[in-house]
Amino acid sequence: MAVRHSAPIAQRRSRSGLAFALSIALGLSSLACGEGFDPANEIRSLRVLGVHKDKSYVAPGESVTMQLVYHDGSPEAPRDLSVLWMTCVNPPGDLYWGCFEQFAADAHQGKLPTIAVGNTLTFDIPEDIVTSRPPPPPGNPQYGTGFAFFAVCAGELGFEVVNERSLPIACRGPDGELRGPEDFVAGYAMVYSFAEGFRNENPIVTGFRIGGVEVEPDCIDAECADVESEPPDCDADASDARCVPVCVGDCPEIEVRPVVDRASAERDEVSAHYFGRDVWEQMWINYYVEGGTLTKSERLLSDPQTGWYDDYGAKFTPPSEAGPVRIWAVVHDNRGGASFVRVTVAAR
Amino acid sequence: MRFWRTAFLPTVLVLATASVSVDARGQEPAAAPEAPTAAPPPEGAKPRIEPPELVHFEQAPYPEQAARDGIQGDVVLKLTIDAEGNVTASEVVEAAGHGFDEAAQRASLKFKWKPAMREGKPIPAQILYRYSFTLTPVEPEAPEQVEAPKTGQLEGTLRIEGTEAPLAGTEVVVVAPDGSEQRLTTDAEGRFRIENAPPGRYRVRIAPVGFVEITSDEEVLVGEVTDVAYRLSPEVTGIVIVVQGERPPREVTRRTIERREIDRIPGTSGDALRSIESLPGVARPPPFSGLLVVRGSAPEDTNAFFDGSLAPIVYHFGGLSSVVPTELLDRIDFYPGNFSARYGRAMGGIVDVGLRSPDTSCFEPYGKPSDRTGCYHGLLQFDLIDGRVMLQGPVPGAPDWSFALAGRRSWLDAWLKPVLRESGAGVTTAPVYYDYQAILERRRGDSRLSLRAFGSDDRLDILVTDPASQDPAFGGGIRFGIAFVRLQALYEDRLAPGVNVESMLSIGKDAVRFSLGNLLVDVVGYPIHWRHEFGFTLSRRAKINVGLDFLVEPSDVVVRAPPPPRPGEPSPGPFVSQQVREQSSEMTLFRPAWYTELELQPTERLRVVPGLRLDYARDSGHADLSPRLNARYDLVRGASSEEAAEGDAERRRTTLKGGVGVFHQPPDPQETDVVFGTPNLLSERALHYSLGVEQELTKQIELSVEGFYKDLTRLVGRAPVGSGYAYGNPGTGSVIGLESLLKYKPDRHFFGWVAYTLSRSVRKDGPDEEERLFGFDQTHNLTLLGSYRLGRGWEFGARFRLVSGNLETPVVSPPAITALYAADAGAYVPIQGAPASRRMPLFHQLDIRIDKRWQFRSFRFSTYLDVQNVYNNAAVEGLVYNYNFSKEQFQTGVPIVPSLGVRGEF
Repeated sequence: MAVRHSAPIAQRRSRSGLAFALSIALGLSSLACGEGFDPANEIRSLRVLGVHKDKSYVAPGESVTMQLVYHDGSPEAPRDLSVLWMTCVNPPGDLYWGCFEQFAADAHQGKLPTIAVGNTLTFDIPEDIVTSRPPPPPGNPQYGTGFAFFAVCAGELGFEVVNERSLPIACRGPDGELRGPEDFVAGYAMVYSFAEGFRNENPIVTGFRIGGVEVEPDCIDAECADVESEPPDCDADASDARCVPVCVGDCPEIEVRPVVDRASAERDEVSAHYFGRDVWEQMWINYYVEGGTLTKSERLLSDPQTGWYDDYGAKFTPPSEAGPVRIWAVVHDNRGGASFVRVTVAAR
Repeated sequence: MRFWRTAFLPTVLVLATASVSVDARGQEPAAAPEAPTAAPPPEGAKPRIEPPELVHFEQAPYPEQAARDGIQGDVVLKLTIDAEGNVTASEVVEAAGHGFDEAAQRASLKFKWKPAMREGKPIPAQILYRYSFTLTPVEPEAPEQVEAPKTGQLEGTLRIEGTEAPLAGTEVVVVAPDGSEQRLTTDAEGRFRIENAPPGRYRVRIAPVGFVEITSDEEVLVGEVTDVAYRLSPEVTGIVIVVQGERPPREVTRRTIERREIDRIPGTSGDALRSIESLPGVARPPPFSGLLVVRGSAPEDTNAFFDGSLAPIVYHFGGLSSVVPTELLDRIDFYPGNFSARYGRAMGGIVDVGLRSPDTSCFEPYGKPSDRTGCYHGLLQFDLIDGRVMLQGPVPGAPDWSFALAGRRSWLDAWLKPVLRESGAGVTTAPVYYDYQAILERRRGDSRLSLRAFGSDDRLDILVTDPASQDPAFGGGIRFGIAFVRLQALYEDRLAPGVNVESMLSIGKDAVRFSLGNLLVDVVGYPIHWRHEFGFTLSRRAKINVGLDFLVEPSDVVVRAPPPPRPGEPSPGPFVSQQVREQSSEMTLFRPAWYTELELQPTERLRVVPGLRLDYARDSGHADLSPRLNARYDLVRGASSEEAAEGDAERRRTTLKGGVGVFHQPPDPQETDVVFGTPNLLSERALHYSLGVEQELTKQIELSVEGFYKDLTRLVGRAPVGSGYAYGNPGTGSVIGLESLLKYKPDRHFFGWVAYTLSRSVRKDGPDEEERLFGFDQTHNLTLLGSYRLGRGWEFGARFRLVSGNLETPVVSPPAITALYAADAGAYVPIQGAPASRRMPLFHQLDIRIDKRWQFRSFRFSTYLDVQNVYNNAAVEGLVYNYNFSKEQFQTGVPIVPSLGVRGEF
């Protein structure tokens, strides 16, 4: 569940960075809980699970391929979905919303932002993405940013300013009505481009474990954008860990977790090069499930201060009705890298 | 020298032997004890037990050494009296030492008694008997008279609450039914008596110095004895903490809240600094924020000082308790606006907390006031949050010197650690705080030198294994620590007639360490603050003050973070996937200031204080000149104390007051930093205007109404420049409001006030931006509070607050999408509407506080129960959303919170 506080908005400046830090520390409990909302990990509508990039740090002049990973958990699924991409580089302050003004300005001049349609985007990074910017503050890295905005819609997508603080895109249903968050997801993914050509690899996911047993996943990484689910044949092999009993009454929880190579936690070259600091990536996992329940939506995997954290699994309780259930784990690092793994279990 | 003996203790309870059933009503303070007289019981009434009566008193020799040393004492004996009236045993129950015990014991064995009677038959009995040795001559008490047949008798006993010790030599004023007045003095056992009293209702008033006054109506019946017992509570004595709106003559108005009020305000757990929140002009801050929002200004626009030394924090962990305990405070100067030229670098308000001089006063037994000094005092207090200890008194061998030592540690960690672990967090250091204070002071004539060392340390170190879904940056290792220490010297003296000097030098260390994932703030500063002021009295009507206010702070700074967002801007998105910047530098903040003020009193009724202040900030490279003018005029002068003594106290003071001034605040260091800000920003500027009136309504009640307006310009903001942002001074704003305070000044029983503030605070982030409400704007703020002493050490207080709801920046509503999905963070970013444009429902809350105090011979024990949000109102503090911001709920604040504390002190 998400919580938004009014304090940061009202904080005119960070002389009270201190007070801000304190309020963050003390407010953690409220960030972590909530009652009455569906858990973030339960997929019951159209959901974007992430963007897979073949590289998250891109050298100037290179291209990056992005694939949108989403799932339509709506009761009306499968539905025809439209997907659209728009790109923007170096918005003011490297803030995503700086692009909106750029889009509006382009539209005012009759230009349309770079657009792609479909699940995949090839984003060509300009040669001058770094050099076109003013020099960075002393001792800080020189870089450029590329933003890829996407929109996936169970309806028709079109250019329309519904809100000045959002993308100038609207999703309308067959009767022309505006589609809301259940049927329309828009968002963005970023790439950084450094003059030194720094790289960041995606986390290394090699498999999935259910109840401590490694199982065959449906897909890993970019495949998850396209590959259909493959429920296990439990009649042929009832010992397959993916075959789980339906949950009626008091059910045991089954631990699920991706298999992540510890080498995924990379050294942050930028911090080492510019700040002389030997820090490691921050990593975490987002879990999703389309049936049953998962105890956790986010789990820590690696912390820059304390290192690797082994207990990163979540507890799965199968649904009460028989059928296939898909479980996703999206492994993130804090430099734009992400890897995906999906497994289908059969509740019997 | 002679001594005298007491009659037997009226409070004595007869502990009869096995053959005697005891009527315990005599122990009940509220009930009149059974009359120890020979009056026949009414027909059909329960048979009475008559206590033994002393018929022969044996005078004990006064111990010679005690007499030479001038020592007095009371010995409480348990006497066993047989059916013949002989004392068969005497046991010391409460010893006095110095030979008193043995002397009293031996003498008591020679007493002769008329035995206790039951239904006319003598019976054995045990009684408690207080044998007093005193050096004051007094005549033996006259034997009891038989009342006249058509009158009754009123008699009673005064005792010190909690100890049952008699209160001797105290005046008791008794007003008879016919209006005639008698003034009696209690005897050594605290007894008074009116014989042959006509029947009817009598009013008894007892107001001894140092005790809470008691007034009570008593009924006297024909042929009966009305015997009453009064327990008097010693008044709380000691320091007075003053919270001032603005202190004359150099500011506009003055509001005084005594310590009697401050540590009894419900909802504050007795924390003096938190009582400021109940004053007019101060907004209700968000829970656990520790912010002071004064007259619509940003929290960071109000500065807090400890005796003039800038304080990095005022509260532990955002408001749990203040970093200096109430017991060590001498005063709190609170200036909500139009403050003196002594203070600068702030556009909002000023809070200057003064530490007290060590207490060396003395008390007689049972807390009676005394003129003596040179005594030690200690304190031990525990509540659910922390425990504290304090010791103060004279320095042995150094007659002008005194000291105070105090310390406090929280034990939040004891119960919060399991809670955090239960929620999935790994805990290295659960939230814990310390503070400590040491004061060494010399007073000689008008000269005062005070050397202090004080500081505070707050720490937290946890591992959050379930990152926040809103922003995974809020996960992993979280370390927080803020500590400061100050070594401070304070000197005040009168150098010559009409020339005063005040000087304060403080050297300290501030350390702030915060790390969260990849984010880091590590700042260690060494602030040196020097204030020096000369005051020259030019004539009876003119005085000039000139002073310096130097602040130098070398610092080591390491900050690794993304650029912070600005108010009014859309959400920047999750921190976790943003590229950080880092600044690692050694810098020195140098901000000197000079000021002068003229205190003019052209007439007895008018006081005008023009002032001028010059500030320089080397970090921004700018100097600022701030002229100010404050004035007060008595339309009607109040009655002087002499006039009041002559009965001419009806004239009530009416005072007009006003002020106008310029106030500058330099940009924060990070705003002019080359990495995170833009160098050479101008100082922000505010013009303060205020106009008001004070009206005495009665001797106890005063009304104060004051309007204010603040014009804010050159507020720091930022605007896009190329692919980046540049900071500038494009922002403007204003605050307009009206404060009113209807106050019942504290008397022996009650204090309370009604404070109401009406205000509107707006900001404009740039010339082309729309004006918006300031995030902490609160249109209405009403506080009603009062506390009443019930007697017998009990006190009950309540505070009720009714405040406009907090402002929120709303998220757009469906059917439009409500948030963008930040794929790199796996989190949604809300699409927000106009900043601070949605007000939450009205806040209201009732807090109560119950105190009970027991005064013993040489120490006092007290306990309190402070209950916040008594009726458990689910006050709305903000909004919470589901993962994609498509659904919202109210986020409610603190539920009912009882807080229990105990304290022992001597």
